[in-house]
Amino acid sequence: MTNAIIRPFIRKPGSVGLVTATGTPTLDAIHVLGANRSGVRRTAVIRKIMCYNNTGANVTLQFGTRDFTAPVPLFVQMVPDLVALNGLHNSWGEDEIIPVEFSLVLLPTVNGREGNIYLLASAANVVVAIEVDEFGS
Amino acid sequence: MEVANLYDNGPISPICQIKEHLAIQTDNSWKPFEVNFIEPIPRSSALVVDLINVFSGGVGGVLAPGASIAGQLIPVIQCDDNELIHLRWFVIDDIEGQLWQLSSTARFAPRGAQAGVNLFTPTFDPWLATTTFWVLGTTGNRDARIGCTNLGGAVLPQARVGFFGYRYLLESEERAHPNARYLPSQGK
Repeated sequence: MTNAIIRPFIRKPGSVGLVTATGTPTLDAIHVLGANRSGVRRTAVIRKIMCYNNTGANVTLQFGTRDFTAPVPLFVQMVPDLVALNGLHNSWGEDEIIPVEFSLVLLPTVNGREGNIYLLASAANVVVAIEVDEFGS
Repeated sequence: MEVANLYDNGPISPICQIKEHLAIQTDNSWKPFEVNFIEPIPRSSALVVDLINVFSGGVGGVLAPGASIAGQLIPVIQCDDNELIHLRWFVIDDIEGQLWQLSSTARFAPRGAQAGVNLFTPTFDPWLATTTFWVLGTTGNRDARIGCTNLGGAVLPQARVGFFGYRYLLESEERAHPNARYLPSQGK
């Protein structure tokens, strides 16, 4: 028997809802972290990604956050590239997505991560929605 | 049904039987009553309130991330004279609700903060025992006010809270019965 530690979470859709990708180099916000009354940010883990690609070619999707300490906020990729195949509905579930925790918390090797989840798509017009687990209070 | 202590950490139960006695604190005094009638108020759609709807007077609207609605009078849990409502409550949307009684007395409030009820509350307290409060039908204390803050990163079209519990009808007494149970129906 194993004892798994399950942290309390709220499962919800990405706060921005259905996003139509703008395409490189523009980032599309896809989930903004909530905050409690004391201003403490929640964290989030992507549990599901769904998209529809009717652009005429395969499109690469990158999910990540921003490094806000750079002069111009930099994209920080957090999940390996995903390829949205042309003409298909593509989806990835929680057993396939690495559970990276998007957080305002700084990591030792990384400058200030904003924590909000952004999409960087290699081409425009892929339609994307995600589902996240938010941790916190 | 089993009679519970005031804040028992299990399912909600009446805090006395019919014909037993209560001394209820309100306006900083203990008012003695005999209980004449008890009925349950099950969790139901009628006692789910959208604070955005209440705040806007039925017009509707949205609650932006981080935005708050000040305490609103909640008509569905108001009392008549000699009536006591015993409630637990929960939120349905990603908000944190806060409770005020006697118009502006913050409930669930240690010195440094006022606690609230949010979507995580039933995770830590499945029976919502820590959300227990009472509304007494007597001058100055027949109301409860609920306000809320949007804790999520999304704009909310609804900010719903719901209530369930028991309703007691009371008969005023001259003095507190020796076996009366004392309960606080307000904050201090």
